[in-house]
Amino acid sequence: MDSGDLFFTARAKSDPEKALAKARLIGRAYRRMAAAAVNVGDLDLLQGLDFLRQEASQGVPLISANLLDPSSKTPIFDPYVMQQVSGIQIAFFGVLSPNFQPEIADRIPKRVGEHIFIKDPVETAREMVLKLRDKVDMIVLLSDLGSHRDHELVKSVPGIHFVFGGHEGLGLAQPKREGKTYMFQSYAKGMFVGKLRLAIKNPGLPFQDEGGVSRIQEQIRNLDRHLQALQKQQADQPGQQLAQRIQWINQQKAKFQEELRQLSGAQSQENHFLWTLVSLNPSLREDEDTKGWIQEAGIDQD
Amino acid sequence: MKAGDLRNALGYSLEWVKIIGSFCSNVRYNGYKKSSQHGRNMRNIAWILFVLAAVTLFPFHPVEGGAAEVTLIHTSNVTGHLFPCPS
Repeated sequence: MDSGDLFFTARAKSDPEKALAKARLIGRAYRRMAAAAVNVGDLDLLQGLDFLRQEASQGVPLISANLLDPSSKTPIFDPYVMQQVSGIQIAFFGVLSPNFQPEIADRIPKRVGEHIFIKDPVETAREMVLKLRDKVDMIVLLSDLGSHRDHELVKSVPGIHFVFGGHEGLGLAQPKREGKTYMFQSYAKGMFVGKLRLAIKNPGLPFQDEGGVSRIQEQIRNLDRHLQALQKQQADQPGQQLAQRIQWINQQKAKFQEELRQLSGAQSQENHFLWTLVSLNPSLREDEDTKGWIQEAGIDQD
Repeated sequence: MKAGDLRNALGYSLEWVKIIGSFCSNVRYNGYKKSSQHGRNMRNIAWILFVLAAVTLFPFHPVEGGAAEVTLIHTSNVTGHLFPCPS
Protein backbone atom coordinates (compact mmCIF):
# COMPACT_ATOMS: atom_id res chain seq x y z
CA MET A 1 0.00 0.00 0.00
CA ASP A 2 1.06 3.57 -0.61
CA SER A 3 -0.05 6.66 1.26
CA GLY A 4 0.28 9.11 -1.63
CA ASP A 5 2.61 11.24 -3.78
CA LEU A 6 3.60 8.10 -5.64
CA PHE A 7 3.81 9.21 -9.24
CA PHE A 8 5.26 12.70 -9.60
CA THR A 9 7.86 14.97 -8.09
CA ALA A 10 7.31 18.58 -7.08
CA ARG A 11 10.32 19.65 -9.17
CA ALA A 12 8.98 22.09 -11.74
CA LYS A 13 11.83 21.42 -14.19
CA SER A 14 11.09 17.73 -14.72
CA ASP A 15 10.37 16.74 -18.33
CA PRO A 16 6.59 16.01 -18.46
CA GLU A 17 6.94 13.22 -21.06
CA LYS A 18 9.61 11.41 -19.06
CA ALA A 19 7.64 12.00 -15.85
CA LEU A 20 4.56 10.38 -17.40
CA ALA A 21 6.57 7.43 -18.74
CA LYS A 22 8.07 6.86 -15.29
CA ALA A 23 4.70 7.24 -13.60
CA ARG A 24 3.21 4.59 -15.90
CA LEU A 25 6.07 2.22 -15.03
CA ILE A 26 5.46 2.84 -11.34
CA GLY A 27 1.76 2.08 -11.80
CA ARG A 28 2.69 -1.14 -13.60
CA ALA A 29 5.10 -2.13 -10.86
CA TYR A 30 2.49 -1.53 -8.13
CA ARG A 31 0.02 -3.66 -10.08
CA ARG A 32 2.65 -6.38 -10.33
CA MET A 33 3.20 -6.18 -6.57
CA ALA A 34 -0.60 -6.53 -6.15
CA ALA A 35 -0.78 -3.39 -4.03
CA ALA A 36 -3.90 -3.40 -1.88
CA ALA A 37 -4.46 0.37 -1.94
CA VAL A 38 -2.77 3.49 -3.28
CA ASN A 39 -3.92 6.80 -1.82
CA VAL A 40 -4.03 9.88 -4.02
CA GLY A 41 -1.65 12.57 -2.73
CA ASP A 42 -1.51 16.18 -3.89
CA LEU A 43 1.57 15.57 -6.07
CA ASP A 44 -0.33 12.81 -7.88
CA LEU A 45 -2.66 15.49 -9.25
CA LEU A 46 0.18 17.26 -11.08
CA GLN A 47 -0.50 15.61 -14.44
CA GLY A 48 -4.28 15.91 -14.18
CA LEU A 49 -7.07 13.46 -13.42
CA ASP A 50 -6.98 11.67 -16.78
CA PHE A 51 -3.67 10.00 -15.98
CA LEU A 52 -4.98 8.80 -12.60
CA ARG A 53 -8.26 7.60 -14.08
CA GLN A 54 -6.33 5.64 -16.68
CA GLU A 55 -4.15 4.02 -14.00
CA ALA A 56 -7.25 3.14 -11.94
CA SER A 57 -8.93 1.61 -15.00
CA GLN A 58 -5.82 -0.52 -15.59
CA GLY A 59 -5.97 -1.91 -12.07
CA VAL A 60 -3.99 0.41 -9.78
CA PRO A 61 -6.18 0.43 -6.65
CA LEU A 62 -6.36 4.22 -6.29
CA ILE A 63 -8.42 5.43 -3.35
CA SER A 64 -9.43 8.77 -1.88
CA ALA A 65 -12.36 9.42 0.39
CA ASN A 66 -12.16 13.22 0.26
CA LEU A 67 -11.24 13.91 -3.37
CA LEU A 68 -14.68 14.65 -4.77
CA ASP A 69 -16.34 15.61 -7.98
CA PRO A 70 -17.39 19.24 -7.33
CA SER A 71 -20.82 18.95 -8.92
CA SER A 72 -21.98 15.59 -7.54
CA LYS A 73 -19.87 15.73 -4.34
CA THR A 74 -19.13 12.04 -4.82
CA PRO A 75 -15.63 10.50 -4.63
CA ILE A 76 -13.73 10.48 -7.94
CA PHE A 77 -11.97 7.22 -6.96
CA ASP A 78 -13.04 4.47 -4.59
CA PRO A 79 -13.14 6.00 -1.10
CA TYR A 80 -11.91 2.74 0.43
CA VAL A 81 -11.03 -0.86 -0.35
CA MET A 82 -11.53 -3.94 1.79
CA GLN A 83 -9.16 -6.90 1.88
CA GLN A 84 -9.39 -10.15 3.79
CA VAL A 85 -6.01 -11.36 5.03
CA SER A 86 -5.63 -14.49 7.18
CA GLY A 87 -9.32 -14.25 8.02
CA ILE A 88 -9.04 -10.62 9.15
CA GLN A 89 -11.16 -8.14 7.23
CA ILE A 90 -9.25 -4.86 6.72
CA ALA A 91 -10.56 -1.59 5.28
CA PHE A 92 -8.11 0.93 3.81
CA PHE A 93 -9.36 4.45 3.22
CA GLY A 94 -7.40 7.49 2.09
CA VAL A 95 -7.41 11.25 2.51
CA LEU A 96 -5.35 14.14 1.19
CA SER A 97 -4.90 17.67 2.42
CA PRO A 98 -6.93 20.57 0.99
CA ASN A 99 -3.79 22.70 1.45
CA PHE A 100 -1.29 21.80 -1.26
CA GLN A 101 2.47 21.86 -0.77
CA PRO A 102 3.77 25.41 -1.41
CA GLU A 103 5.93 24.39 -4.43
CA ILE A 104 2.90 23.11 -6.31
CA ALA A 105 0.10 25.22 -4.87
CA ASP A 106 -0.20 27.26 -8.07
CA ARG A 107 0.29 24.33 -10.48
CA ILE A 108 -2.45 22.01 -9.25
CA PRO A 109 -5.35 24.41 -9.74
CA LYS A 110 -4.20 24.88 -13.35
CA ARG A 111 -4.41 21.15 -13.98
CA VAL A 112 -7.44 20.09 -11.98
CA GLY A 113 -8.78 23.26 -10.35
CA GLU A 114 -12.43 23.19 -11.34
CA HIS A 115 -12.60 19.39 -11.57
CA ILE A 116 -12.02 18.57 -7.93
CA PHE A 117 -13.35 19.41 -4.49
CA ILE A 118 -11.34 18.35 -1.43
CA LYS A 119 -13.56 17.73 1.56
CA ASP A 120 -12.41 18.28 5.13
CA PRO A 121 -10.27 15.23 6.01
CA VAL A 122 -11.43 15.03 9.64
CA GLU A 123 -15.10 15.07 8.70
CA THR A 124 -14.40 12.51 5.97
CA ALA A 125 -12.49 10.23 8.36
CA ARG A 126 -15.33 10.40 10.90
CA GLU A 127 -17.84 9.34 8.24
CA MET A 128 -15.57 6.55 7.04
CA VAL A 129 -15.12 5.11 10.53
CA LEU A 130 -18.90 5.19 11.12
CA LYS A 131 -19.47 3.43 7.84
CA LEU A 132 -16.74 0.80 8.17
CA ARG A 133 -16.48 -0.07 11.85
CA ASP A 134 -19.26 -2.70 11.79
CA LYS A 135 -18.12 -4.18 8.49
CA VAL A 136 -14.47 -4.88 9.19
CA ASP A 137 -12.06 -5.96 11.92
CA MET A 138 -9.48 -3.26 11.28
CA ILE A 139 -9.52 0.23 9.81
CA VAL A 140 -6.35 1.57 8.19
CA LEU A 141 -5.96 5.17 7.07
CA LEU A 142 -3.58 6.04 4.25
CA SER A 143 -2.91 9.71 4.74
CA ASP A 144 -1.28 12.44 2.69
CA LEU A 145 -1.90 15.07 5.36
CA GLY A 146 1.46 15.18 7.12
CA SER A 147 2.31 14.00 10.62
CA HIS A 148 0.90 16.98 12.54
CA ARG A 149 -2.49 16.76 10.82
CA ASP A 150 -2.51 12.96 11.18
CA HIS A 151 -2.16 13.44 14.91
CA GLU A 152 -4.95 16.03 15.00
CA LEU A 153 -7.22 13.78 12.96
CA VAL A 154 -6.64 10.75 15.15
CA LYS A 155 -7.38 12.83 18.28
CA SER A 156 -10.75 13.83 16.81
CA VAL A 157 -11.64 10.49 15.23
CA PRO A 158 -11.21 7.39 17.38
CA GLY A 159 -11.68 3.96 15.83
CA ILE A 160 -8.81 3.96 13.32
CA HIS A 161 -6.34 1.18 14.12
CA PHE A 162 -3.35 2.32 12.09
CA VAL A 163 -2.41 5.44 10.15
CA PHE A 164 0.24 5.17 7.45
CA GLY A 165 1.22 8.71 6.64
CA GLY A 166 3.37 10.62 4.24
CA HIS A 167 3.39 14.02 2.59
CA GLU A 168 6.59 15.39 4.18
CA GLY A 169 8.62 12.25 3.47
CA LEU A 170 9.57 11.63 7.08
CA GLY A 171 10.35 8.28 8.62
CA LEU A 172 9.48 6.91 12.04
CA ALA A 173 11.71 4.25 13.51
CA GLN A 174 9.12 3.86 16.26
CA PRO A 175 5.41 4.56 15.85
CA LYS A 176 3.57 7.47 17.41
CA ARG A 177 0.52 6.67 19.46
CA GLU A 178 -2.68 8.55 20.16
CA GLY A 179 -5.26 6.63 22.18
CA LYS A 180 -5.51 3.19 20.59
CA THR A 181 -4.26 4.38 17.20
CA TYR A 182 -0.67 3.97 16.02
CA MET A 183 0.88 6.19 13.35
CA PHE A 184 3.71 5.23 11.01
CA GLN A 185 5.82 6.96 8.35
CA SER A 186 8.28 5.36 5.90
CA TYR A 187 10.51 8.13 4.48
CA ALA A 188 10.52 9.00 0.76
CA LYS A 189 11.88 8.33 -2.74
CA GLY A 190 11.93 4.56 -2.29
CA MET A 191 14.73 4.69 0.29
CA PHE A 192 12.80 2.46 2.70
CA VAL A 193 9.62 0.46 2.95
CA GLY A 194 7.77 0.24 6.23
CA LYS A 195 6.92 -3.28 7.33
CA LEU A 196 4.21 -3.86 9.92
CA ARG A 197 3.84 -7.43 11.16
CA LEU A 198 0.63 -8.04 13.08
CA ALA A 199 -0.26 -11.00 15.28
CA ILE A 200 -3.99 -10.72 15.96
CA LYS A 201 -5.68 -12.80 18.61
CA ASN A 202 -8.82 -10.72 18.83
CA PRO A 203 -9.18 -7.65 16.60
CA GLY A 204 -11.39 -6.01 19.22
CA LEU A 205 -8.52 -5.83 21.73
CA PRO A 206 -5.82 -3.12 21.73
CA PHE A 207 -2.51 -3.63 19.97
CA GLN A 208 0.79 -3.81 21.79
CA ASP A 209 4.04 -2.60 20.24
CA GLU A 210 6.45 -5.55 20.29
CA GLY A 211 9.25 -3.17 19.38
CA GLY A 212 8.53 -1.32 22.63
CA VAL A 213 9.98 -4.25 24.58
CA SER A 214 13.21 -4.33 22.60
CA ARG A 215 13.54 -0.55 22.80
CA ILE A 216 13.18 -0.65 26.61
CA GLN A 217 15.65 -3.53 26.82
CA GLU A 218 18.10 -1.43 24.82
CA GLN A 219 17.53 1.52 27.19
CA ILE A 220 18.27 -0.73 30.17
CA ARG A 221 21.46 -2.00 28.52
CA ASN A 222 22.55 1.60 27.83
CA LEU A 223 21.86 2.59 31.43
CA ASP A 224 23.83 -0.45 32.65
CA ARG A 225 26.83 0.56 30.57
CA HIS A 226 26.62 4.12 31.86
CA LEU A 227 26.21 2.87 35.42
CA GLN A 228 29.30 0.64 35.20
CA ALA A 229 31.39 3.56 33.99
CA LEU A 230 30.14 5.84 36.78
CA GLN A 231 30.65 3.19 39.46
CA LYS A 232 34.23 2.71 38.30
CA GLN A 233 34.74 6.47 38.46
CA GLN A 234 33.16 6.55 41.94
CA ALA A 235 35.51 3.82 43.15
CA ASP A 236 38.54 5.74 41.88
CA GLN A 237 37.42 9.19 43.03
CA PRO A 238 34.32 9.20 45.28
CA GLY A 239 32.08 12.28 45.20
CA GLN A 240 28.59 13.45 46.20
CA GLN A 241 27.59 14.51 42.69
CA LEU A 242 28.64 11.18 41.23
CA ALA A 243 26.67 9.31 43.91
CA GLN A 244 23.55 11.33 43.08
CA ARG A 245 24.01 10.60 39.39
CA ILE A 246 24.31 6.85 40.08
CA GLN A 247 21.18 6.98 42.23
CA TRP A 248 19.25 8.77 39.47
CA ILE A 249 20.31 6.20 36.86
CA ASN A 250 19.27 3.37 39.17
CA GLN A 251 15.85 4.99 39.53
CA GLN A 252 15.54 5.29 35.73
CA LYS A 253 16.55 1.67 35.33
CA ALA A 254 13.95 0.56 37.88
CA LYS A 255 11.30 2.55 35.97
CA PHE A 256 12.20 0.88 32.69
CA GLN A 257 12.28 -2.54 34.35
CA GLU A 258 8.77 -1.99 35.70
CA GLU A 259 7.57 -0.82 32.28
CA LEU A 260 9.15 -3.90 30.72
CA ARG A 261 7.47 -6.19 33.27
CA GLN A 262 4.08 -4.64 32.47
CA LEU A 263 4.61 -4.88 28.72
CA SER A 264 5.75 -8.49 28.87
CA GLY A 265 2.66 -9.43 30.89
CA ALA A 266 0.31 -7.67 28.47
CA GLN A 267 1.89 -9.24 25.43
CA SER A 268 0.64 -12.70 26.18
CA GLN A 269 -2.99 -11.54 26.18
CA GLU A 270 -3.16 -8.89 23.49
CA ASN A 271 -2.67 -8.42 19.80
CA HIS A 272 0.78 -7.21 19.01
CA PHE A 273 2.77 -5.72 16.17
CA LEU A 274 6.33 -5.17 15.10
CA TRP A 275 7.23 -2.13 12.97
CA THR A 276 10.46 -2.00 11.01
CA LEU A 277 11.84 0.27 8.31
CA VAL A 278 13.54 -1.85 5.67
CA SER A 279 16.24 -0.14 3.65
CA LEU A 280 15.92 -0.75 -0.10
CA ASN A 281 19.65 -0.93 -0.66
CA PRO A 282 21.22 -2.09 -3.93
CA SER A 283 22.12 -5.49 -2.49
CA LEU A 284 18.45 -6.55 -2.66
CA ARG A 285 17.54 -8.64 -5.69
CA GLU A 286 15.75 -6.73 -8.45
CA ASP A 287 12.59 -8.04 -10.06
CA GLU A 288 13.84 -8.97 -13.54
CA ASP A 289 10.56 -8.21 -15.34
CA THR A 290 10.27 -4.75 -13.81
CA LYS A 291 13.92 -4.08 -14.58
CA GLY A 292 13.21 -5.12 -18.19
CA TRP A 293 10.26 -2.68 -18.47
CA ILE A 294 12.45 0.18 -17.26
CA GLN A 295 15.20 -0.72 -19.74
CA GLU A 296 12.65 -1.00 -22.59
CA ALA A 297 11.43 2.48 -21.76
CA GLY A 298 15.03 3.69 -22.13
CA ILE A 299 15.19 5.11 -18.61
CA ASP A 300 18.47 4.64 -16.76
CA GLN A 301 18.21 7.25 -14.03
CA ASP A 302 15.70 9.44 -12.21
CA MET B 1 -16.81 -11.12 7.22
CA LYS B 2 -15.40 -10.12 10.62
CA ALA B 3 -13.24 -12.37 12.76
CA GLY B 4 -16.17 -13.13 15.10
CA ASP B 5 -18.19 -14.28 12.10
CA LEU B 6 -15.18 -16.28 11.02
CA ARG B 7 -15.11 -18.23 14.26
CA ASN B 8 -18.86 -18.95 13.93
CA ALA B 9 -18.36 -20.06 10.34
CA LEU B 10 -15.53 -22.31 11.44
CA GLY B 11 -17.69 -23.97 14.10
CA TYR B 12 -20.50 -24.35 11.58
CA SER B 13 -18.09 -25.83 9.03
CA LEU B 14 -16.82 -28.34 11.56
CA GLU B 15 -20.38 -29.51 12.21
CA TRP B 16 -20.96 -30.04 8.50
CA VAL B 17 -17.72 -31.93 8.02
CA LYS B 18 -18.66 -34.17 10.97
CA ILE B 19 -22.09 -34.85 9.44
CA ILE B 20 -20.69 -35.63 6.00
CA GLY B 21 -17.86 -37.67 7.51
CA SER B 22 -20.36 -39.68 9.48
CA PHE B 23 -22.40 -40.23 6.31
CA CYS B 24 -19.27 -41.50 4.57
CA SER B 25 -18.62 -43.97 7.36
CA ASN B 26 -22.21 -45.21 7.26
CA VAL B 27 -22.05 -45.69 3.53
CA ARG B 28 -18.84 -47.55 3.99
CA TYR B 29 -19.95 -49.94 6.64
CA ASN B 30 -23.75 -50.24 6.44
CA GLY B 31 -26.40 -50.85 3.89
CA TYR B 32 -24.30 -51.65 0.85
CA LYS B 33 -22.18 -54.58 0.02
CA LYS B 34 -18.61 -53.42 -0.41
CA SER B 35 -18.31 -55.39 -3.63
CA SER B 36 -21.49 -54.06 -5.33
CA GLN B 37 -21.15 -51.37 -8.04
CA HIS B 38 -23.90 -49.29 -6.39
CA GLY B 39 -22.12 -49.43 -3.05
CA ARG B 40 -18.82 -48.32 -4.61
CA ASN B 41 -20.55 -45.42 -6.41
CA MET B 42 -22.20 -44.23 -3.22
CA ARG B 43 -18.94 -44.43 -1.31
CA ASN B 44 -17.14 -42.46 -4.02
CA ILE B 45 -19.85 -39.78 -4.04
CA ALA B 46 -19.76 -39.55 -0.27
CA TRP B 47 -15.97 -39.14 -0.20
CA ILE B 48 -16.08 -36.54 -2.97
CA LEU B 49 -18.65 -34.64 -0.90
CA PHE B 50 -16.42 -34.95 2.16
CA VAL B 51 -13.34 -33.62 0.35
CA LEU B 52 -15.34 -30.79 -1.26
CA ALA B 53 -16.76 -29.81 2.12
CA ALA B 54 -13.31 -29.85 3.71
CA VAL B 55 -11.85 -27.71 0.94
CA THR B 56 -14.66 -25.19 0.54
CA LEU B 57 -15.57 -24.78 4.19
CA PHE B 58 -11.99 -24.07 5.28
CA PRO B 59 -10.87 -21.17 3.10
CA PHE B 60 -8.96 -19.59 5.96
CA HIS B 61 -5.27 -19.82 6.70
CA PRO B 62 -4.31 -21.71 9.81
CA VAL B 63 -2.85 -19.35 12.40
CA GLU B 64 0.12 -19.87 14.65
CA GLY B 65 -0.48 -19.91 18.38
CA GLY B 66 -4.10 -18.82 17.96
CA ALA B 67 -3.12 -15.49 16.35
CA ALA B 68 -3.77 -14.48 12.76
CA GLU B 69 -0.66 -13.06 11.14
CA VAL B 70 -0.89 -10.13 8.75
CA THR B 71 1.99 -8.20 7.19
CA LEU B 72 1.45 -4.73 5.73
CA ILE B 73 4.10 -3.15 3.52
CA HIS B 74 4.03 0.63 3.21
CA THR B 75 5.59 3.14 0.85
CA SER B 76 5.14 6.89 0.77
CA ASN B 77 6.39 9.90 -1.17
CA VAL B 78 7.98 7.78 -3.89
CA THR B 79 7.55 10.93 -6.03
CA GLY B 80 8.24 9.30 -9.35
CA HIS B 81 11.50 7.59 -8.34
CA LEU B 82 12.16 4.37 -10.25
CA PHE B 83 15.56 3.93 -8.67
CA PRO B 84 15.68 4.07 -4.87
CA CYS B 85 17.76 6.88 -3.44
CA PRO B 86 20.62 5.59 -1.27
CA SER B 87 19.43 5.40 2.33
